[in-house]
Amino acid sequence: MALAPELLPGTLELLILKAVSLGPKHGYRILLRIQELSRGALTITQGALYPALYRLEEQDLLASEWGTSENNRRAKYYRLTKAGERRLRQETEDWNRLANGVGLVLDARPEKA
Amino acid sequence: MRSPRQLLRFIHARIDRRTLDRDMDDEMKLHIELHAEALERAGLAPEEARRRAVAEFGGVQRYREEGRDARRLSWLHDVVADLRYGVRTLRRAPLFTVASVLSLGLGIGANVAIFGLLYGVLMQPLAIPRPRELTALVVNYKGDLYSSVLHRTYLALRDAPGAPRLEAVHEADDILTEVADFHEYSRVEFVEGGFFSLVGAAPTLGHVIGPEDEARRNPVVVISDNLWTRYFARGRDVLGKQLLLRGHAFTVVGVMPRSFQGVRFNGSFTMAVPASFAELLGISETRNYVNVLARIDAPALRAAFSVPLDATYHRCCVAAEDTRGDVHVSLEDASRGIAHGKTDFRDDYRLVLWSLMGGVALVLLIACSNVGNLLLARGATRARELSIRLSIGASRWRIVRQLLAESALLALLGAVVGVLLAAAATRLLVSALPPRLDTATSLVEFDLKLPIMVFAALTALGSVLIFGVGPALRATRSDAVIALRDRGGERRPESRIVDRLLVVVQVAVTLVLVCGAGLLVATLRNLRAIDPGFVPTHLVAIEVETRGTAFEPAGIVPVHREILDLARTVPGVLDVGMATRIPAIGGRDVSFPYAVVGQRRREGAEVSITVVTPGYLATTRTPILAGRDFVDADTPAGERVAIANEAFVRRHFPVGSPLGANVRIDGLNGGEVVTIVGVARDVRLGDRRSPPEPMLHIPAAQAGKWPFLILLMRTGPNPERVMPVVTHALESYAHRLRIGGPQTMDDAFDEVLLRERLAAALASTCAALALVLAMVGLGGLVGFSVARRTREIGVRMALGAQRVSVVWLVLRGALAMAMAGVLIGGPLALGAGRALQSLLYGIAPTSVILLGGAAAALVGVAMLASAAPAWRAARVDPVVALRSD
Repeated sequence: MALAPELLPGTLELLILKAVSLGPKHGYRILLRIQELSRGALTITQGALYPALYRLEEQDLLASEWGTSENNRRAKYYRLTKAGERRLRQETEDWNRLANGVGLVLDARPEKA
Repeated sequence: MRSPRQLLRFIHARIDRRTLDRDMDDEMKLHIELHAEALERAGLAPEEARRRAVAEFGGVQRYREEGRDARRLSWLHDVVADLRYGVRTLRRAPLFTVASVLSLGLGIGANVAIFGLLYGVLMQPLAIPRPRELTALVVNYKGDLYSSVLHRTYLALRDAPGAPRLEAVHEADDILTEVADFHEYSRVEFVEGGFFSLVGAAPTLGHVIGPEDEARRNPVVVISDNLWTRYFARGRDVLGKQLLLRGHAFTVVGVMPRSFQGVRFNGSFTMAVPASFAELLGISETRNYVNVLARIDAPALRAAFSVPLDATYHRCCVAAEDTRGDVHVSLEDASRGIAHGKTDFRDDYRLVLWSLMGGVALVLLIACSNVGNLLLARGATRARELSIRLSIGASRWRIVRQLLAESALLALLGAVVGVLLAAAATRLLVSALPPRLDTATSLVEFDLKLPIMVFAALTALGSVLIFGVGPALRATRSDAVIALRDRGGERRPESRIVDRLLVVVQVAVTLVLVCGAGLLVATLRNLRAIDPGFVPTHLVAIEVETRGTAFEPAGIVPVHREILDLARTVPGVLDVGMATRIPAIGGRDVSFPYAVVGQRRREGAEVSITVVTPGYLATTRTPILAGRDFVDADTPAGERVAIANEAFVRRHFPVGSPLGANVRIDGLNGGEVVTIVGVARDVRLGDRRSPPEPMLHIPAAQAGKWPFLILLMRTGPNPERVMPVVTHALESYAHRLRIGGPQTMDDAFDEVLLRERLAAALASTCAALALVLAMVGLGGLVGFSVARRTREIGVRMALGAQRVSVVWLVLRGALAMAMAGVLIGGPLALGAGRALQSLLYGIAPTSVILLGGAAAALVGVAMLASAAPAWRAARVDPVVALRSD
């Protein structure tokens, strides 16, 4: 874990949107899901998850309601709003284009003389 | 803010900071616990698992802070940024900003000023704790409402089974007060023991009158802040000092704060003593009327409590002949003060104030549409800036929000200017009120009461909605991107239709206001034109009363000649006379059943009696139309005589002469027959709308026992200078004669038409404001369109158009808008006139002449307003215009 790369700024939000799009879940579950999907390749400072969640909620990309956790405690479940779905689609596209572009550049071979 | 949900969350976060913090803590705690459990399952010891979980979470405190910021500040941040941006853009367009702020300032100012009056007169609750609960007993006697009952009725109702706790306060009476060097008549209220505790007014010093004072008949008095200042120089040792009321010593036990002004509407508080002293201080049982008070919150409870009171009232206090009539008592809301006869002008002013409120709302509407038009024009010129921002990805809402922030800033500045203007205008108005209305002055005096501030804020907010939202939405419409391709010149035709519609509405609304003001001004003129039946200039009145003095047993008549002689000797006094009732000044309206000898008695008819001295009618310059005036020879020894007014003659002697006719007046000296020896011109006593009532003048020497007469003097050009001299002479003549209310007729006469004058003046101001604003709007729009069409005008002129036809081209547009406005406004003005009907006199609310005149004037002014732009259009140089882009 210590060797896993730091996230690019703004990526955490994208990951949260994706994780939540797979089904409503509370904060800890979102973290577990991201780690599970990335097969442990990404480092997330656990506490940083929450300010990110609030920012997304503040922008109306996530909605939340209170429910009960698996250990019977009060837990806040997040789900994606319509605006969140749109944002996720758009950001995914942007990300793919960016990753593609960066990948293409980095894959370049030495030019022939 | 982007959505209602966000707004809710924002408000929630502001209100309920603690709940949100707790929710956040719960979430983080749960996270750590779940993680610790997971670590434990992976084989760590519980202690160690917990430690690791906390460590891996990172700084809890830091993330709490960040979380809080994410929640609350984003919205606020945006607002601050929008406002900053708004300030910058407004500063870049100073002319636009000043024009808008002034427009809004005038509109909002007029609204705040009139609302201040409306609130002060119609809405303001009494300055007591929980005024909403205050309830007063009201007697409905065959449709007439009375707020007072005899003291003995109160006692009966108080003990009625099922009655709520009732307290009473005697209608204040003027009682001779002596302390130190003071010797004057002051208002004294008589209160039941529980009155002060029911009202809940706390004293600044000492204590209030309580039940034990009433029970033990303690001669105690509670004085006002004002008396404390005047009699005792605000000394802390005032408690325990004594003052004499009608010669009886009373001990001061408390001082009330300045804010306490009793429980009556527009009332004032001077001092109070226990009710048990009423008789000692000269209030006979039959004159002992009280206001009955209770504290009941809910209207339903008031109705419920009224039932047993009404039943008891019918058992104890309703005369046999009234039992079948519609006579009831009920408990009614008194939170704004008990209605109180003469000083209660609320009903008189209700319609006037609400009409004015409607008028200023229309003025604000005009101001808003001016600003809206300016914003539309600005939106057009800023189209390129906005479309660039839209096309580089700014969200539409973001830009709308910024534009609205600009509007909100304008409204805020407008509100500030408006409140300042309102304060100045109200001060002006108060200084124009007659001096005698000093308590009313305190009602309308402008101060920044919370409700007025709230009203100003709401008005500003409403203005933003009216003038801001439309232009903001329009400027950011998605097809505004087209503007990028435009060369910034021509606006889309449909937006010009909106501009024109706004101006048409302005003209229509202005017509309504001008017509309304015209009706009120015509009413004032018509009322002024009515002959009052006397010459009101340079008259001074002083009330001379014997009640509560050494002269009381014999009344005023035996000494009235000496008083007249005394007044005659004062330099500057030309004529003198005395009467029981004087027009505009007041006095007492006494009427008796009567019959003209030789004619059938009219059932229930009564005739007003005014007792006058010889020379009174000469003093007022009321013409004697037939017969003679009273002379000194009309004494109790001579023939009983009377002078009728024209109304009396019209009723009883439509043909033939009334002179020599005999009239039997029941109740005058126990029933008397008088002979009519003269006919006097009708005099309008107060309100000039009501036709004069039949009246008989009776000479004072034959009138029997009267407690007072009003001395009236016609003076040289300086009545004010005569007043104190006469007062002084009278006081030295009879030290303990009661002298009251020296007043000039000029002041009193002003007061008679006060409501009409205020209504006419305020409505005219309103109409003038509307006219100026609407013409600025119309002129501005025409000017703008000339500026935009410079090229087109140039082409026309190059093609040979005459200057005249160019001027006509411009004027035609203005004329069309003005005419359309007049056509729409005409019916509205007629409707408004009808709503004002009860205020009008001598003019029909549908007066075609007035409406036509106003419409013609409006169209004329509209032409004038567009004359300057038309002139500019005519001077367009085709060569220059065609070269311009």
